[in-house]
Amino acid sequence: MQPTIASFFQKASSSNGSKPKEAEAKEPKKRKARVISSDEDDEVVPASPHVSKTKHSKKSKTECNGSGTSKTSPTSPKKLKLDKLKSKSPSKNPSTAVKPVDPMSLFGGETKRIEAKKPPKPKDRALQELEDDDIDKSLMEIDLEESVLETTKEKSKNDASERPPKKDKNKEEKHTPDHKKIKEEKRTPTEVKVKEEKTPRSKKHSSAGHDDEKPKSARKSSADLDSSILTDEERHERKRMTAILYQKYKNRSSVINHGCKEVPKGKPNCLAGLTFLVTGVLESLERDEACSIIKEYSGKVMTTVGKRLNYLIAGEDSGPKKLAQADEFNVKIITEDDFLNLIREKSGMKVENGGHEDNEKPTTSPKKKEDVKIKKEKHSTPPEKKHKMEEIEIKKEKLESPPEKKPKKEELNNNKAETKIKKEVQEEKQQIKSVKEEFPRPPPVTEDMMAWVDKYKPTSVKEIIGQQGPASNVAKLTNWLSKWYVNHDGKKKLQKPNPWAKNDDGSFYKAALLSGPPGIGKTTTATLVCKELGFDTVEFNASDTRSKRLLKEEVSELLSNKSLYGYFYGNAQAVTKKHVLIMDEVDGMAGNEDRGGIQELIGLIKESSVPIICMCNDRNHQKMRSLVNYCYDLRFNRPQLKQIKGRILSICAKENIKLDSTKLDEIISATNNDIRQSINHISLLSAGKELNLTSDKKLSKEEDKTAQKDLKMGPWDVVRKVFSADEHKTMSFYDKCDLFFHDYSLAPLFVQQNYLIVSPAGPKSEVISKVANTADSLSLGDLVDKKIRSNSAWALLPTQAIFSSVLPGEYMSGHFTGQINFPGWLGKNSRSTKRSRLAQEIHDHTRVKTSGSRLSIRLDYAPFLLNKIVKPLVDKGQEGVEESLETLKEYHLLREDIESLIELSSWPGKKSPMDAVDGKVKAALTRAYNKEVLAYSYSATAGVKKKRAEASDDLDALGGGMEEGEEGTTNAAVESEDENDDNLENDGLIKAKKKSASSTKASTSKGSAAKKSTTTKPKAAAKSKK
Amino acid sequence: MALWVDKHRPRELLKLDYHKDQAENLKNLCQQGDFPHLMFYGPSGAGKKTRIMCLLRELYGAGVERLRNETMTFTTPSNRKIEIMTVGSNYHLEVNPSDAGIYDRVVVIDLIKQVAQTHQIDPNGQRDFKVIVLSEVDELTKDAQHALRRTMEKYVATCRIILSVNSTSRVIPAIRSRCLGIRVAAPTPNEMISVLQAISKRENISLPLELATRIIDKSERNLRRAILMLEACKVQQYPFTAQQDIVELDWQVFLRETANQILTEQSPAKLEKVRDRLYELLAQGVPPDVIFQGLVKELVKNCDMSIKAKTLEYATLYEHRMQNGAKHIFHLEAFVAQFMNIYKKFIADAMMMDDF
Repeated sequence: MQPTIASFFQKASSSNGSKPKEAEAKEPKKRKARVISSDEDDEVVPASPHVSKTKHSKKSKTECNGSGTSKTSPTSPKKLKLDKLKSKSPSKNPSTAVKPVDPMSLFGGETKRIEAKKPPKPKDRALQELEDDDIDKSLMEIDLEESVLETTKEKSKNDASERPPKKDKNKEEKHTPDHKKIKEEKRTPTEVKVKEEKTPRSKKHSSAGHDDEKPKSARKSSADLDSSILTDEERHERKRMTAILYQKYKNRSSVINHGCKEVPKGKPNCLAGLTFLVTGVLESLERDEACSIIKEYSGKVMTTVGKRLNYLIAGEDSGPKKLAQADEFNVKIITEDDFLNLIREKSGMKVENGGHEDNEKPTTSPKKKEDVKIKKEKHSTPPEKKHKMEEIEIKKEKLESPPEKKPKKEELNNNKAETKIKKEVQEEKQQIKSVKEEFPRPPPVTEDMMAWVDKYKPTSVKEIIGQQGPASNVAKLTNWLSKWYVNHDGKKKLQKPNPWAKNDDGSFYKAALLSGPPGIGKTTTATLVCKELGFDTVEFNASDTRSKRLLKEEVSELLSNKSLYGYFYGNAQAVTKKHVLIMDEVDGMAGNEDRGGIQELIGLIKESSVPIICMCNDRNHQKMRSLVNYCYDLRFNRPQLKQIKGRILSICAKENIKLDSTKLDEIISATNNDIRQSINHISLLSAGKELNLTSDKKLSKEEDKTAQKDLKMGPWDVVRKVFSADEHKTMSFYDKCDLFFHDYSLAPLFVQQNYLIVSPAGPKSEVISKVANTADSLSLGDLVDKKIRSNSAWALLPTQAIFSSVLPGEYMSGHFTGQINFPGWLGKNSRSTKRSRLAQEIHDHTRVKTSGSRLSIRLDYAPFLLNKIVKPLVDKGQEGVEESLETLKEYHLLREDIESLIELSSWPGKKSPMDAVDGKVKAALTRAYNKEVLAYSYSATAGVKKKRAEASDDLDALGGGMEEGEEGTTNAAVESEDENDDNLENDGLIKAKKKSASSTKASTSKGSAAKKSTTTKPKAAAKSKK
Repeated sequence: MALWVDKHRPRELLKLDYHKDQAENLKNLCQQGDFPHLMFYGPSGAGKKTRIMCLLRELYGAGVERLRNETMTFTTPSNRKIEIMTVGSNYHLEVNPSDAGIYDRVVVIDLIKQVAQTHQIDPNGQRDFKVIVLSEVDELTKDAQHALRRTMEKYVATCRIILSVNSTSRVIPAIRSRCLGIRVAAPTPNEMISVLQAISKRENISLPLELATRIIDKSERNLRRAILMLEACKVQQYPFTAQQDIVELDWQVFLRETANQILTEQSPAKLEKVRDRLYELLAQGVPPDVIFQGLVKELVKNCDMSIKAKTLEYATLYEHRMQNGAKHIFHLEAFVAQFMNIYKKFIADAMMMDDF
């Protein structure tokens, strides 16, 4: 509503009296609108008169500098008056209360209307009161003269019939008052303005040669004095006014047309050094928003009007005090539009030529215009009676022009001819016009604030790139989701599908796992599919804590909830039961917060009564392993370059950007077919274009380069590039070095593994010398590696890059003749460590008997020892068991050590000696062993280890049952033995033993074991004597 | 039924078969009542451990032979638990700190200090000190060795440390100077023959001298290996014949074959195969220096003199690098590649010469 009125007035003023009829013709419309608002206000005001009153009284007290306290019963007269006002006209005025007789009786409702404009003014006035009565008087006279002048001017301009009487009234009012105060208050706002402007001049009258600043200070002090001078009536009046103001404040509307204006994207820091204060209700921005905008551009937001304030952004219902103070401090008062333009101006943008401009032309300065506006707005808000509306309109129109002229008048020393004034006004208008044209208004676009990625996000399933067709993931997901409740109603018994089955619709699974690289639309797909099928989504992503506890408590609770969405949006099926839980970025479940999250998620999936959609980037990740088994696997692949290109071209068309097609290809491929990143790049480029058209091409090229560099290559790609002669042509030395750094721990291994399958360019005869050079360089690289790792000398890494990657690449530059293999070193190394562990075990076990070191056990003993054990079994079968067992006992070996020995003495192409032994014999040996051989201190741990390792040997399978039972007792024996012996042995030892014993599941009765142990001990002793 | 090598091990100093003078000295040392820390050094299979055990028996009597296994747990500063198996009697403790790998320092600090600090409880025992036997001290890291030196000085009153070392070159001089070094040289072939024959006599078998010589040849003067081979031969075929097959160790065969393959073909593809074989040898726990040694020996056998020098040069170069490096295979491979290179060049040159 407000803007329309404003525009109306602006238009009217633009006509500037030259087309009064037009203005009048428009009035009725406005009036109607006003009527509605006044009615509304009518209803609001009576609603809480008492409450507001009390508040007002408080407020007024403070504002009157404590003078109000002298009043014994300030509330009661007020009440009366309010009641009166309510009954008569909702828009009551303090002035009516002050002198209830003359205006009311003389002019009826009209006075009320006039005063309705005033409320803010009296305060201003109070502040600006002059200390000197004489000055005041003289001022008054001047004012009166001026007002007369003005009214005459107005009259000449506007030929409306109703106006003259009104003016007269005003005059009369001014003439009649007994107090200057009252007079001033009676004056129309325009006159108030005049007064303000004139004060310096009046000063000049009284004391010539005063500076401009002096009057200000004088005024300030006068304000203080004034408050004490006030009569009771005046105080009363003031209280009323503040009460009304407060009422207004309370009832004031929120932003009328929120977001109707485009907020320009200014340069950062464009408002640096400027200070702002927002007052009143702005047209399109909330106050907070305005403040945040100011802060965003590094402007400063102040809370009080002061000298340092640069701009006062005034909206509707702005605080009159603030406005007055702003005037006092010469602060520029601007509207919201001015403010937005200011941003544009400061950030070097063109201020657009919009329809608003016309409205602003007539005002001499933004400040003036703002004042007018504010006044207008004030008029509109207080409740008024319909029949007075017309007059108000006229008043306003009148008000509009005067302020412009008054300053001029001042300059012209009061007696200048009107024509001159007009001329000057026109001149100024033109100036303003030219200024305005420099800053045209931007088009009203709110979407500009959004990132393109969000702006052009697919809104329906069909828009998702690369997900069309029946076999696409979208189709699969839709199918799965739509059938979910049918499939999982508890009646069907579903079979776990064969993981290799092709056309699986995932009906078995209660959850789906969308996996794929970032930026290709996984989340978009999930949300859109859910939307399309009418599911409500509950989303958890990496930004939420997803610990075990949270998942258990909160999510499961959420899933049992019912959505009220339907209630609020009037859907027929008010409460929906269809939920989907979207767990985004499940591979991001890590750290302390999300501990156990995956396990809990799996538990959730098992129990869930709603479909769950999980999303991750790398489904082969260690953390995902367990989850994958419970999810319908949907893998997203990167869309084709052409698919992305199509979409991006359409975006470019919408954004009016012309982009080279090949350039676009480059960008897309540089981002590795990542839609999101491509759009971001384009967005960046377009921004660059706006700033600097010429550097566009260069910029994009560099952009591509950096984007490409950021890509991480896998070791396979790296090693291919290291040796490929074609790539070398385009690569600089640094590029070659960089290859190494893609994964500096794996790169040298890959190079070493694969350099032999490269066929280097050049004569065949030189191949072997090249190989030798390469091997030499790799050997040096290993030396550097050792230095790096052992001394943490990471500064040497580039050196290693040269030796381990660049030089081999140079020597062997050519092409691959075979498949690139994963470095064998890792596997081989782990095998050799495993074997050395086995050898150490055997060494430990046999140490009592043998003398050799670990190495000699491994290289010398192992085969002979094994032969000694196995030979009798092979030769004699069952009868040989006894002999083998004897050897085992002699060397304190465990049954498992035989396997270790076999592994240690196995060579490629050599048969295991145990193969020749009959299965029955093996079983017999195991049985005999378990029966006869007593526990060693290490047998408990060994048993555990073996179990953990899940011995796959057939031997163990045969003897497994017996072993289990026997082990329990032996472990118990060990334990009790410990207890008996602990005074003999070292502390550390007991600890170790107990730990090992307790870790096994020794559950057999301890009593029997203890008895046994007493018998075992001497035996053990005897054995060691042997 | 123990293997012969363990069954016929001498248990007393005076019953040792060779280095009898040394045995005498050791006996005198014990009877003196006190002795400094000892370091037995010598090649594998020469009888270091045997001598140490004899010495202990001399010191403490038969009680030393009542051995028991104990597992000890240590916590490293990085909160990792290490288990170490020790063998000990009431009088001594035998540890191999290098079992703990890179954490051997912790073992040295914790265990040895702990044992060394405690006095013997029973003052009636023969000695007022205990003995700690540390085997494979040359395998210890430098850190552990440094940790050891102070312990050796400080607790000399309560314990003696006997070190068993293969090569003193890898023991830091500070430790070497704190010990009385006792060199246990590998037995001469004649001594070995007498040992083998003594064993045969005790086992009631007859051993032809020629076979004994061949066994000793194969065993590289490693008495342990020789005895093991003898037993293997007996198992394989008895009565002995002079020319019967001697069971060879698999890794020796494998290494020889590898060397032969290098000589047959010099190409990247071959090098790759050789690499696999080298991996296999390493995985079997054959020390890389032994591999170097074996390869060089085999390669040099049928080479021209000019190549021999170069081969040795490269072998030393890469062996040295290997000691300083981290991944043995890199250096072994580099050596093989270099050898292939020079060998191929040599062959090509020879062909050219022939053509002329």
